Amino acid sequence: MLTQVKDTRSVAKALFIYNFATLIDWPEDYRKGNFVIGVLATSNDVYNELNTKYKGKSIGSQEIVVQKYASRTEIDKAHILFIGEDKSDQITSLTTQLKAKSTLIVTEKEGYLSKGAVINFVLDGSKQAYEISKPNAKKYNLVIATKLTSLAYKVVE
Amino acid sequence: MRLIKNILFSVLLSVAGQVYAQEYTAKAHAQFQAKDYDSARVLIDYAIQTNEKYNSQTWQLRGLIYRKLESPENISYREVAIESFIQARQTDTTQIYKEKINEYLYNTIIRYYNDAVTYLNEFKYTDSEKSYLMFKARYLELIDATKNFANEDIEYYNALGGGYTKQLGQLSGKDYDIVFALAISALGKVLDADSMNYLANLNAAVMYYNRGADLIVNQDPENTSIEVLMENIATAESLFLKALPLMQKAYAINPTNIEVLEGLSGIYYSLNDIENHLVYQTQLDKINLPKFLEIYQNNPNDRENLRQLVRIYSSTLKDDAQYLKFKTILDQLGG
Repeated sequence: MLTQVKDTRSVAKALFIYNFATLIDWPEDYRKGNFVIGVLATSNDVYNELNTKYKGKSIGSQEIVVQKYASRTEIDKAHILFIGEDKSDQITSLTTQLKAKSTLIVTEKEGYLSKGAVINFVLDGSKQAYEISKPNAKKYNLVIATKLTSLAYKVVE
Repeated sequence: MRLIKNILFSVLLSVAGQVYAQEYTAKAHAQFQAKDYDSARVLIDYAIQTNEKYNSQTWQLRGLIYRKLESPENISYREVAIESFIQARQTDTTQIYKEKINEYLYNTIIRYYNDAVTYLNEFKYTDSEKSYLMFKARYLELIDATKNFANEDIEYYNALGGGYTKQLGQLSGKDYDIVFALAISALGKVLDADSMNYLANLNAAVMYYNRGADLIVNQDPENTSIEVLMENIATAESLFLKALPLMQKAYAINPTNIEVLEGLSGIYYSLNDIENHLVYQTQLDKINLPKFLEIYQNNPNDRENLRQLVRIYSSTLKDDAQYLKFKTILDQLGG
């Protein structure tokens, strides 16, 4: 019988985020030290999934560290920042705050590429998918692999 | 008709006490009464090579003897018994034994059904279905060609599907795929007979949901490429979409069942339909809330229970005061 309701959404998002980490090139100064995946969200679901399954794994020679932020002021140098839907209203401040950095901002709210996200989770029908903004990636000096753009639901050139 | 093994009554030896005019049949009958069935078999097989073969009672006795001798090692004796009763019917030209022979046949054929039930209990599902199909075929051929087996099919295939479903938990890879297909096929037969069958709809929906969800949650976190992830998401979606109408039917039949509500909540969640997910999660939480509160009374430090209360009061049954109360307790316990 039904063993329990399974959190398929968070599992998929965490796995997407891990794949983003492997398919994007960060600038030289981001290729040393730990590989930081930050989560700014009220819900712990995606954070828990990342922390349980990916903490201590590697991206190249960098060890993955997963951080949960209670507020945006805690965010310093992160390779990836996942902003949960319930914290989406902070994106404008965050894009300003992270302007000089190379943080891949990942959101999950419709229309958020236009607000500064590099990757935004969207639905393709009822399937989890993602869209990419190449201009935003360029702003943060991020190089996105062709494979990632070719599988995207939408790519803003 | 409920054809369960334990209701199979012993066939009364209706030929007992009758006087056989024929020599070998009479001798066989004596051995039969003395419970020396092997000797009775030799004699009755001899009888049917003589003119005694024109006597219906000879064939009836032969059927009874072979039925007595039937065992797992001599399963073919059942068919010999059936063939003997058929011969008994053909030689009963005046049809005076018609009812009795039909009873013999019925009580012999039903053994296939009983075998099906036994095999089911022994987890020998292929053998079970083979026996069930044999029971149906023989029944239609020899007892009643117009018999409708819809009710029996529903009962039997629900049990078979349930058996396969239980087996799935111990399987993986190709074995899982094979048994999954067999379970769905069995439940499909129930739904063919009764599309609103509660159990079959629920079980099939749960199977599709679990398979889709497992496909997502059991992915190798490090070695699942983005292509594979997206393929898995698409496959899981198709499974969730198969589960949904089945679970909706189960809900139409039993809207307060916790498993059905969990199922709909989970399916909609996995289909990223949060609006509908919350509809069913709210119904579920309304049912479960008193239980969570009782657990809290008995064990205020149960963190998982506190998480549920925090979730409920912050999402489905919003109550700021209660949310803050349980959130504070949970935070004090370390979250």
